[in-house]
Amino acid sequence: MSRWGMAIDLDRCTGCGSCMAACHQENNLTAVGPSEAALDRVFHWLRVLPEVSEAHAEVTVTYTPQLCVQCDKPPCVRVCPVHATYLSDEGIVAQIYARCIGCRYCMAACPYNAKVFNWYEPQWPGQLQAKANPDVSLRYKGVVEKCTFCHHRVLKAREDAALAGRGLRDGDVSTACEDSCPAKAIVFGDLDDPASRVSRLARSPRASRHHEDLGTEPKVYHLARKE
Amino acid sequence: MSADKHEFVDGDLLRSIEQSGVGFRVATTVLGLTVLTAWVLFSRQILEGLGVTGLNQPVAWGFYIVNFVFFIGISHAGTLISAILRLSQAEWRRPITRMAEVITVVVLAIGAFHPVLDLGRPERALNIFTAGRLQSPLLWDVSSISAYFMASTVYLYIPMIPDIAILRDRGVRPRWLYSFLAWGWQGTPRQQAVLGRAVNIMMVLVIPIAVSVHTVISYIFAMTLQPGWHSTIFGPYFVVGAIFSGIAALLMVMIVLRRIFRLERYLKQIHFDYLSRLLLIMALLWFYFTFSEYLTAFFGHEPAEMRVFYYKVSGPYAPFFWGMVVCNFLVPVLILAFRRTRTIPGIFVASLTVVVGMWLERLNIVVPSLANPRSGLPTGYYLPSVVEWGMFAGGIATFILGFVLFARFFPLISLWEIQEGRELSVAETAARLETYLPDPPAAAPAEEASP
Amino acid sequence: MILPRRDLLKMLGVGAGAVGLGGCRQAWSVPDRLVELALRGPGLESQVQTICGLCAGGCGLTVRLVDGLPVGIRGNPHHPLNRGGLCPVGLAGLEVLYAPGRLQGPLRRQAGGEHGATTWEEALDEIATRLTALTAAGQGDRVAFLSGEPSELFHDLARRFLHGLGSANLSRLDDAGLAHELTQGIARAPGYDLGGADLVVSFGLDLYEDGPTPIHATAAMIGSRPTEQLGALIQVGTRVSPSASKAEIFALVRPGTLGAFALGIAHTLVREGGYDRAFVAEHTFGFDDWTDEDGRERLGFRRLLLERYYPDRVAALCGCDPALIVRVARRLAAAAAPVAVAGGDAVRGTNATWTQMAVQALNALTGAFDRPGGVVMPPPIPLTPLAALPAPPAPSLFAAAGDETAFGVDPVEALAAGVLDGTRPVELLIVLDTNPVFSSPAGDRLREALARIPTVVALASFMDETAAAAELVLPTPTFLERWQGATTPRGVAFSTLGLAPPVVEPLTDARHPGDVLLELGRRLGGEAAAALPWSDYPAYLKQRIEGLALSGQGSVVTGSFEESWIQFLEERGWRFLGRKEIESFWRTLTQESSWWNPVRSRGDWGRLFATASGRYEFFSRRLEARLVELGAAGEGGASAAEALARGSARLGLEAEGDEACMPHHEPEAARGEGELTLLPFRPITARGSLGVTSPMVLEMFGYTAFSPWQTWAELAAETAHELDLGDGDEVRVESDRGHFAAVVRIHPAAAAGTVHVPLGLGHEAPGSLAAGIGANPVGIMLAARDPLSGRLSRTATRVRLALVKRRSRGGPPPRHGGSEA
Repeated sequence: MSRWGMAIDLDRCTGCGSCMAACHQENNLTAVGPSEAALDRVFHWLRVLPEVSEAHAEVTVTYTPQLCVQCDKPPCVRVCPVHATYLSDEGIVAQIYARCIGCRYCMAACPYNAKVFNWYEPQWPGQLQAKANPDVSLRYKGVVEKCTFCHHRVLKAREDAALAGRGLRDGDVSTACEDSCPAKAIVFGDLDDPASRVSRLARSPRASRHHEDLGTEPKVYHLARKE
Repeated sequence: MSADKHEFVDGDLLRSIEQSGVGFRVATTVLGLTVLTAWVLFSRQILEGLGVTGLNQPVAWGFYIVNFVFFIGISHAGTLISAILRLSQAEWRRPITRMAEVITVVVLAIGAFHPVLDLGRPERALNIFTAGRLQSPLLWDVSSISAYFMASTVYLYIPMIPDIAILRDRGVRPRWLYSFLAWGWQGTPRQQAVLGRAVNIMMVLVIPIAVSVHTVISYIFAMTLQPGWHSTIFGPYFVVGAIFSGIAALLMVMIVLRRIFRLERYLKQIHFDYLSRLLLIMALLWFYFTFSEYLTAFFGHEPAEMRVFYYKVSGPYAPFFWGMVVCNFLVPVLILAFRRTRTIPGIFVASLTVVVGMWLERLNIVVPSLANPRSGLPTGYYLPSVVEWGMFAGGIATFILGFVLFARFFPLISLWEIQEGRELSVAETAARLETYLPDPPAAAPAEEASP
Repeated sequence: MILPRRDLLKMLGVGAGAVGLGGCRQAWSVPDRLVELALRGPGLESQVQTICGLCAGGCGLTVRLVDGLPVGIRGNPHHPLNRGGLCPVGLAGLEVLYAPGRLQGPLRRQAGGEHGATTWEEALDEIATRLTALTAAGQGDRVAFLSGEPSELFHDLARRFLHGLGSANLSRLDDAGLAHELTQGIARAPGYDLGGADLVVSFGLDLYEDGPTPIHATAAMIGSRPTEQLGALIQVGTRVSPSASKAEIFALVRPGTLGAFALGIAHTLVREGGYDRAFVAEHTFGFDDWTDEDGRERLGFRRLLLERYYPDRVAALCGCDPALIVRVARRLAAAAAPVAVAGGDAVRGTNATWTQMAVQALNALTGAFDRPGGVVMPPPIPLTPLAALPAPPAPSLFAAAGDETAFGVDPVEALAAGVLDGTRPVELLIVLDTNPVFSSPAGDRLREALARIPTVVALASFMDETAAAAELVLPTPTFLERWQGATTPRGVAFSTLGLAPPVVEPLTDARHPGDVLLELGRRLGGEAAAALPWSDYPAYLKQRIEGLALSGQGSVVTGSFEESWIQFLEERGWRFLGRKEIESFWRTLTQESSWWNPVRSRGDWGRLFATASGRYEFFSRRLEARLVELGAAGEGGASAAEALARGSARLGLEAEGDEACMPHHEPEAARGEGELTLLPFRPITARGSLGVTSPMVLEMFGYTAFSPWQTWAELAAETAHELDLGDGDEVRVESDRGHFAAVVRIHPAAAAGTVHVPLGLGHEAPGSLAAGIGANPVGIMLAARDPLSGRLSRTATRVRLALVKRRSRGGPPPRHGGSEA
C-alpha cells in the first residue's frame, strides 16, 4: 500500500503557473468567466499564490503553488455529514461528487481553502467539451470538488505495472502538475517508500508543511531554504 | 375546571378565533405572497445553482447560515424560558408560556429549513439519513434540532389540549379540527393528572435538549480550526446569546400581540418588568462572554486570529461589530437599567435592538472568519444577493404568518393555566411561601439547651 | 416494439452524448463524423509528438489522442528545449483548437463593410488577379507581407513568393538585432548557453516568463539541474516579476537606466580587474584608447567607463544604492561561467540599442563569447539550400532607414507612413497570423493605412483587429491542424528543428498559409510559379529536409535526454546517410517531430564576430561610419570628427563624439504629461497572440495579482499612497493620446514613479474571448523612436491616474509577520 505525497521545491519553482494550467486541463476544470470571476468564484484545484513577507525591512514576494495538501488528519473529512469526502487507503482525500450534498462545510473547515464549489453548472463554451479528459469525471452544479492527486493516473499506472507483472515503482505515477513543471519543482510519489524521491525530499531539512501547527498532517511538503 | 366559568372571565381571549376579521385576511394575503416569493426565489436557486447568492470562494457561507443560527437562537425564547419558569414555579409565567412555545415551534421550523436552503443539491438532503456520518457536527445538529422540534411541539401541544377542548365545546369551526386535536379531553381528574405529569416530564426533558441545540450549533463552528471559530466558550456563548435573543423576541411578540389583541388585562406591567430584568441580566451575561471571547483572542495575538479580530474591530466589519455591541449591550442596558425608561415602549425598543444585534452577532461570527482565510487567499468579500434577502424576508414573513395562523385557530394565552392560577395558585403559593419562611420561634432551643 | 437491452442502451448513450456534444447552442460545431467517433469509437489511445505553435518558443508537445481526437497536451519530456515543461498557454492548446470564436471559412468584405462568406476559389482568384495585374504593371514592389510565423522554413518560402513577384517587402515584426550587428557584425542574434551558465545577469528580461523561450530558460537554469547547482540569477529591472523574485540579487532601477546599470557593473569590473584580460586583448576592439587611420587619438571603452560610469553617478541615474552595483559586479567577477542577457524593458525603450550594447559589453568583458555557459552561435541547420532568385529591384520598405534614424525603421510605422503619405504605396498587403493593429503603438495609423490599401488579405485563425480591417479574411489552421516547421528559436544555444504533420485535420475550412502561397504561385504562372515549384507545403518541407538528412549532423529527438548522450554525439561527430535513407529520416523526423544539434564547433570566431576587425567592437566602427555619413550629408568637407558630432546631433543624441559609438547611457525620451511612466510587461499568460481565445488562459491571466479576466495597474505602495489610491481601486490610466481603465494592484516591492500594465488584453475584435475584457496599454502609447533602429518605444509614455471607483471587493492578503490593521 502506498501513501501518496508530494514535494514542491520552492527554490526551484518560478511561479510560472504551468502547474495551474496543467491541472485545469487534466482534471476537466472549467473557467467561470469574467462576471463570476469578479464575484471571487474563480476555480482552481491548484493555484499559484503570491506571498508577501517582510523581514528586516526587505520586502520579498514568493509565488507558491498551493493545492489540497491531502492531510492525514483532514479537517474536511471530519465534518462531512454524508461521507462524501473521505481519506482513501492510500492517503488521498477524495470527494464523491454523486453523494455530496453541497453543504460546503468542508470548505469552511479546510484551513487551506483547497476545496472549490460549483456555484453554477460548469460551462464549456463552443465545443470545448470535446477535449475533456476521458479519465476524469465531469462535475455539475452544487457539489464541492478538489485536487485528487491525479488519482486516475495512479489507477492507470497500477494497471500498467500489473500488466508488466510488477508492482508500482517510484516515478511510475506522475501528476499533471509535476509533468508540466519546467523547473521540475514538483515531485510526486510514495511517502512510505523510504527510497522514493518524494520521501527523501520530505526528510530534507528544507522541507516544511503548511500550517503544520494545526496538526492536520499534510502530505504536501514545501521545500525552501531556511533563513 | 369547568368550561362555563371561562366564558365569562376570559372570553376575550377567544375573540380572534371566533370572529376573524379583515385584518386576518389582509395579513395572511400579504404574508402569504411574501412567503410565495421566497419559494419562487428558492426554486430559481435550485434550477440555476447557488450562484444566485452572493457566496464565493472563500466566503462559502453567508446569509443562510447566519439566519439559521439566528432563527434557531430565537427559538430558545420559548420552550426553554417557559420550561424554566414552569419548573421554578414562577407564577407570573402563566400568560407567557403559550406565546413562548409558539415562537419556538414556528421559528425552529424556519431555522431548521435554512441548512436545506444552503445546500448545493437540496434534493440530496436525505443522504444525511442514508449515508449520515455521526461524527459530523452537522449530524449532531440534525439530531438535536429534530429532537428539539419534536419535544417543543409536544410541549406546546400537550398544555393546549384543555384549551382546544374548550374551543371544541364552544362549537368553534372547523369543528373536526378541534375535536380531533382535543383528543377526547373531558377534564377528568385522571386526565388532569396525566396532563400534569406529561407537562412535567416534557419541561424537564426540554431544557437539556434546548441547551444542547445551541451548543451543538456553536460546535459547527467551534469544531473547525478556523480563526475566530475555534473557541471552547462557543457552546455557552451561543446558548446565552440564544436565550438573550429569545427573550427579546418574546418581549417583542408579547408587546405586539398585547396591542393587537388587547391583552392588557393579562400581560401586565409586571410581566414585562420581570422579563426585561431577565433580558438585562442576559445582556450583561452576553457582554461578559463577548468580552472574554475577544479578549482571549486579542491577548493571544495569534496572527490568523488577529486578522479576523481586526477585520471585525477596525476593518470592513467594524460597522457590524460595533453595531452589535451597541445593539446588544449599550442600548438595552441603558434602557433597562433605569426604571424611568423601563416602560413598555422602552422595552420594545430594547428588545428590537437586541434582536437586530444578535443577528449582527451571527453575521460577525460566520462571515469574517471565512473572509480571512489562513491560506493566503486575498481577503474575501460577501454581499448578499436579492435572492438571499428575499429568503430572509420570507423567513420573517413565515414567522409572522405562523403567529397569525396560530392566533386564528388557537388561544395565545393558556386559558386553563390562567384559570388554574386564579383558582388554585394563590392558595398554593401562599402555602409554598409558608414553607420558605423560617420556622416560627418555639421553646425548643431552651429545651435543647437543658440536658 | 421490444428493443434488445444493448440497443436501447446504445440509443440512450447516443442521445445523451448528442446532448452533451452537439446539442448545445454554438457558433459552430465539430464535424458530425468526429462527434460519432467520440461517441462510438473503441476508445483507442495513442500519443503523437508535435511542436507548440502558439509562440515562437518551439516547445515539444506530446498530444494524447483517443480515437484520433486530441484530449490532452503535455510537454514532450525528451524535447531539448522544454524537457517536458510547458507554459500555461501551451497547455491551453486544445482550448485554442476547439475555441468557439474560430473562423469557419473565407470571408470577404461586402458592400456594407461587413464581412460575408466567400469560397477559397473566389478568394484566391481575386488575389491572383490583383497580383497578376500588379506584376504586369511592374508594380510587384507594391505587394507587402507581414508575417507572424517565426519559422525560417516558412520565411524562406514567403520570401521566394515575394521575390517571384518582384517585391522584397517581407517583415516578421520581431525585435531588431541591431546591437549585435553593430558590435559583432552579425544579423542573427546569438544564442545564450543558459544550460551551462552558473550565473545569468538579466537586464529587464523576465527570464522565466517572457523572452523568446521562457520554458527553455527555466528548464536550462533549473529544470535540468540538481537543486544544489541551480543557475543563479541576478535581475536588473523595473518590476518585481515572478522571475525577479527568484533572483539572488534584484536591482530595482528607474526606467530607461538598465544600460547605465550595466555600465556601472562594467566600471567596477574594469577598475577592480575582474574582467577577462586575455579575451579583451585577443577578441575585442576599442577597449583601450586607440589611434584611428587618420592618426587621431580616440576614446577607449575603458577610459569611458572609468571616467563616466563610476558607481556613484550610475546609482544616481538608476536611483539605487551604489553598493548594489559593486555587489553585482563582484558577484559577476566571481562567477565561473556568467552570461548577461537583455530583454523586456531593456529592448523596448528609445535607448534600447545602446542598452543592449552595454549588456553585451559585459559579456565581452567577462569573456563569455564562445565559452560554455556564454554567448555562442548555434550550429546552422543544414537545410537544402534553395536556388537563388534575382533580387527585387526596390529595397524592402521595411528595411530602408530614413533620415531620422540611423539604421532601420519600425516596420508597422514605415508601412503606415508610406501608405498614408503616398511615398511608398502598397496595393496588396498580406498579413499572416499577426495582429499589428493591436500590438503596435502605431496601430491606429496602420488601421488608417489598411483602409487605403486596395487589397488587404488577412490569414488568421481568429477574427482579430487586423483581420477585421482586411478585405479578405482567409482562415488558417491552428498549430495542431497544420504542418509545422519550426527552426531554432532566438537566443537558444543549440539548433533545433521542429517538423510535425497535423495532429488532427482542420476542424474548419482552413488552409495552410504555405499551401495558399504555393497555390497563388501556381495561379500566377511565370516567374512566380517558377519560384515555387512544390506541389504542396509538405513537399517543400521534405525537399528542405533532404539536406539535413544527408548532412548527418545532429539527431532526431528520441528517447531520454542524457548528458552522456550529448557527449557521445560530440565524440562521434559526423555520420553519413545514403539517399535511400532520406525517406526513413523523414519518417522518423515527422514521427518524433524534432531534430536538434547540440554540437558546437568552438573557435569559429568568424561566425561570432563578422565585423571588419573580426573582433567584438566596444567601439562600433559601423555606427561611427553611419553617424559620420549622416553628419556629412549635404555638408561636404567637414572633418570626420565634426561629421560624427553633427551626425549624433542630428539623431538627437546626448552623447558627443566617440562616446556615441560605444555603449553608453542615453537618457530615455519621455513623451507626454503625467506623473508616472507607463511600462508594459508580458505575463506568461499573454504569450503568443492566441492565448486570449482560451477561457482558461484568461481565467488565470493575472494569477500573480489576483486579477483574472482583468488588466491591472501595478503601483508601488508609496506611489499609491501619494496618489491616494488603494489596492483594488478602479482607475483611468490617461496619456496624451488616450486612456483605459484598470484595477490598481499595489506591489509592496515595486518602483516608485512607474505604473506597470500587462500586455495582452483589451481586444475589440470578436474573435477572442477577451473582446471588451481588460485594456491594451499599447493603445495609448505616444510615438518615440530608438534613433538607431527606428523601432517605436514602449516605455516612453508618461501617464496620469485618475480614480474612477473605490475598491468594492475584498483585498490583498496581509503580509506575513505583521497583522496589525
